[in-house]
Amino acid sequence: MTVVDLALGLAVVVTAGAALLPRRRMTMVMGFLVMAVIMALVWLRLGSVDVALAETALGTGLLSAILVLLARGGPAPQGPEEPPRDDGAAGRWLPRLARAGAPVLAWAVVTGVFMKVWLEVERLLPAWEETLPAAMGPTGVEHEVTAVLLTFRSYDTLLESAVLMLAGVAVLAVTGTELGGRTASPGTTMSWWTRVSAPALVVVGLWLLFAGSSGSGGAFQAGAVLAGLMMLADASGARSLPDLRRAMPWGLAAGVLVFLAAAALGPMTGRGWLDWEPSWGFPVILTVEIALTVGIAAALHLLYLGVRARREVVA
Amino acid sequence: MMPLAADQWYGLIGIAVAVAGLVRLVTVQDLVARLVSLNVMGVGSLLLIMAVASRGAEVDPLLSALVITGLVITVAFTGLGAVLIRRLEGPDGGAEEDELP
Amino acid sequence: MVSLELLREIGAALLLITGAFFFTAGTVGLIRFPDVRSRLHALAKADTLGLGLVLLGVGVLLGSWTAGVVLLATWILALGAASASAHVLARLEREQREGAS
Repeated sequence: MTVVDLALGLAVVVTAGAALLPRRRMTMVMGFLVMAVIMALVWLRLGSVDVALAETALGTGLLSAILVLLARGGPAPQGPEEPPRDDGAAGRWLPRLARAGAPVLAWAVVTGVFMKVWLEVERLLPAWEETLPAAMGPTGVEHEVTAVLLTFRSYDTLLESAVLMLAGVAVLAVTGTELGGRTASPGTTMSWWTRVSAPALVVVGLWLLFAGSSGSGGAFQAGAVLAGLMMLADASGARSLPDLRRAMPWGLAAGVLVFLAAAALGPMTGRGWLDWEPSWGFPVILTVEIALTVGIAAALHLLYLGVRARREVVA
Repeated sequence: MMPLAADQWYGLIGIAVAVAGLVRLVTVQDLVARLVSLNVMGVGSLLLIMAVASRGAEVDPLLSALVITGLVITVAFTGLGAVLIRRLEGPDGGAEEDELP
Repeated sequence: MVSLELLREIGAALLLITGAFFFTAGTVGLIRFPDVRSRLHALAKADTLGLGLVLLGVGVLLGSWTAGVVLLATWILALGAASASAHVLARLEREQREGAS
């Protein structure tokens, strides 16, 4: 553990406080955004570029936009009312102290117990001294390992994309006409810059898709970047960019349907579910990744469209 | 001072943050504050998982995939929660509250 | 050869430290300045310059042309985004001031 770890860890705690304690919605959302940025650094520090990329694209990018939109449109802050002052301030300090102190006490006790357990147990849990394929290599299943891992990750990814699709469907179900409206433009500078930078963002998204360093991890980061681009195009009112709104339900369905069709290829050729001929692997996975990226971008964009306040929408 | 490894340290931080989020989640009234608390809790538990994953020489790939899944699910439920809060409070969102200070 | 390497690292370190200085100056300006426009001024200018210096330092440290081009593209994107958002915020501020008076 170095000074950098110490500083980063304390920064996480401080920003968590900044996200939890304020009473104004915008303030707590801002605290959470700073926390997400710090977390991206922590993931890098813990040695996982994949997780750091996902945090940057999803946590600090999309989540921040959604939360800021939500906090911006909300009603005026309604904190707990100040207790009436006139009935003798000296007699009322006990309940007030209890109300403020009980959560802190509960936090301290639970955290203390868990920390003790963590420090006792952490070294006893089995550790991963090497990566899984390397660990399974000597057992003579070298050829199968990639297939096993792929299948393993495939279920993971399939269910993940299904959850996102369900969230998108729920948004379609609860929002009505305002999905169709465009956001009022904040001026020509913004829309000009969005038009200029759109090609670069598309390239970044595709690069994340194809060069995604961890197999199926690439689609989520790429979908997040593309969803961010669509969000920017809508928020800046760049009218010359194509309006993809009507395509959203189709894109939403495409991701999961193509994945299921690809999964069914296995049984059709006499192999297991989600298991392909080794020579088919690359084209099948690439097709699935592209469809998944479309589906994820559509679902994330729908989440953005659903959370806009009506007064920001022009028909 | 007790010598701590980096993964132990981040595990402790994860615990502190996750429990703080939980306590805030059950004590606060405001819906957006609850959503943010839920997110803070999620970040804390993901940090704990990554601390477990990074004990060896290399980061454990399965747990990394799990954490990425967790991030995606977080975005999904936060976005859905945000849309639902927007519907609960009315599409116009009540009072104007976006003046610059 | 060793001295050349050392020289490069010293140059990169100087660039990084100068960049961090400009970032700090921009942040201090954001906190201390009285109104929206001077805060935007501090943020858009000092922070963008700081980012450019930090990226230049990283490029010198990496010493590869590919990384240099990617870092340059990053800086140009950040430059445009900072200018555009500062412009939008300043415009909003003017509209609100005119609406209030």
